[in-house]
Amino acid sequence: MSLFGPSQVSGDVVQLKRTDPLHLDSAGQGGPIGQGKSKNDFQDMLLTAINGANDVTQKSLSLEQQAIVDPQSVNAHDVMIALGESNMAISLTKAVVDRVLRAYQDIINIR
Amino acid sequence: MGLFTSIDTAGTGLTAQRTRLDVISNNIANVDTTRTPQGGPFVRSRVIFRPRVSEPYWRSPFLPASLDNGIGKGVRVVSIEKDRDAKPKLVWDPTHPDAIKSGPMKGYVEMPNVNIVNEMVDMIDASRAYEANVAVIDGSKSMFLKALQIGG
Repeated sequence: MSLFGPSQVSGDVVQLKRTDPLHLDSAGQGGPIGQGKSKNDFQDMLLTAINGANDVTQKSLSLEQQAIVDPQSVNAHDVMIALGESNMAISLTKAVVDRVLRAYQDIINIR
Repeated sequence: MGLFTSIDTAGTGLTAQRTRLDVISNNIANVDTTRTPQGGPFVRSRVIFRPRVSEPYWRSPFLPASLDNGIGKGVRVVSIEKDRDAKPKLVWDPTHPDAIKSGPMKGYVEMPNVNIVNEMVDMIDASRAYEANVAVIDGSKSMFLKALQIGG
């Protein structure tokens, strides 16, 4: 029986966020944090990242159009920063997708 | 701490230095202006910078780490103020339409307190600071591209 088990205390059970491996969860157990998430973890992360890259690209596109239509209203460096950010976001997405596809190919080629 | 934090921070620096260059160009353009809507000669402007931090700003050793404001978010132009400390230059020119008509300073013209040498030095300073911020952006991007190469 755990020394700090929930059966030894009374009151409301409140879920607190665990930020340290020494913190106990609701079952009175410690252990590494970050466990117990949904099994679609990577899929969610990838979709969020792709949406983020899309947002950054849309922002750079609208800023580019504004620079063409009304050059007085935007700074040149803001346009170039937006272009660089969208370039970086797309590069990151491409790198992640390439790695995933390579892992998939490696698994497919097992025989 | 994000993908674009340093780039956005350097971007605020770029915007601030552009504003500074705008003010310097206005000062240099008005180096001989003797007549203004407020009366008297033109008075040079100065740009006041302020760090950009998350508001409200907490600072205490007893606060938990989640309330810490973290590192700053760049710079912000807080105001553009007139430089009233430096007095207008007096130039002897009795035929000038804005020359002082009476009194002990009769025949002198009040010229703006713009020192063209100082303005040029400020302009070089602004240009170099702008270049430094651009170098930060380039460095941040090359670091990111290096990170993408991890693991082949």
